[in-house]
Amino acid sequence: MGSAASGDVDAKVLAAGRSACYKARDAFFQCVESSKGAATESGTVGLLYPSDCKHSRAQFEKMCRSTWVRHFDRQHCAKKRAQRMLEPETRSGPINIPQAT
Amino acid sequence: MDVKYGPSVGKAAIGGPFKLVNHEGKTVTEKDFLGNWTLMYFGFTSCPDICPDELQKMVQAIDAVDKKSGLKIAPLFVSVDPERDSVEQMKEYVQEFHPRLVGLTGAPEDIKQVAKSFRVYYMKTGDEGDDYLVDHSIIMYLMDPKMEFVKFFGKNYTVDELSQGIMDEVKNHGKTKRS
Repeated sequence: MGSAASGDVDAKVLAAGRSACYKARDAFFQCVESSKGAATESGTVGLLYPSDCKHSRAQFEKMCRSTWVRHFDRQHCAKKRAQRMLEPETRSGPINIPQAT
Repeated sequence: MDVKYGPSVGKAAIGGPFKLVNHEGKTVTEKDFLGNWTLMYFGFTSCPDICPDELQKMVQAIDAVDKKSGLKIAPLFVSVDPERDSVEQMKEYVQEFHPRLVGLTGAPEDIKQVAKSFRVYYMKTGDEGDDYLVDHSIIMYLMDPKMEFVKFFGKNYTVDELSQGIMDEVKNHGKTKRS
């Protein structure tokens, strides 16, 4: 990481770098979404993902700074959690028990 | 909908003098921005998604205002990560967004002071060895040609709402003075 003192510019945060990161990120999460319940899962600290997606994960981690990877992982998990809460099949809350008449 | 402006009950104490360094390496103060309406956003270049989106929105809005009313608003981007956002870093970053976008960085104490005067919250988070992100409030501040605070816009404003909001404030600005 370039420090302010050394005068290096971190290209990963500039437009082209961001774009490359977002592309790799989207490819990875696309893979995760489309791999339905893979039998084996690998993972680093934080996010479990199907081992089918190991390659896109590596690409994601290569194109993006580690703090960004963590940020996007967390964002993804928060989004999934929100989705689960909204979807009728998976949300918790009051259940309808048929009443005897 | 016509909003009637009554007598002013005073302004929020937001803003004030500052001494920072622009992306050309020149020391600037708030006085260098007098004479134009200014839109200020606080963020940092190592921001994964929010800052690029907000800056994109900001420059699109000022272009829309220019197109609709001929008024050129001065967009400013102030870093809340002065330790890493060097002049060079800021220059490369802002130039990609808009030729008029001015990046401001400086000594951590000077950034702390300007952030305080704008009530900007910022805090380093998520240390990964050397790397970190900066959690910060996501607000754009509209300042009048006297560099006095007029209105703030949160993240929820769209480009159209932002440009319209700015034009409304500019239009009504003269009406609330001297009451």
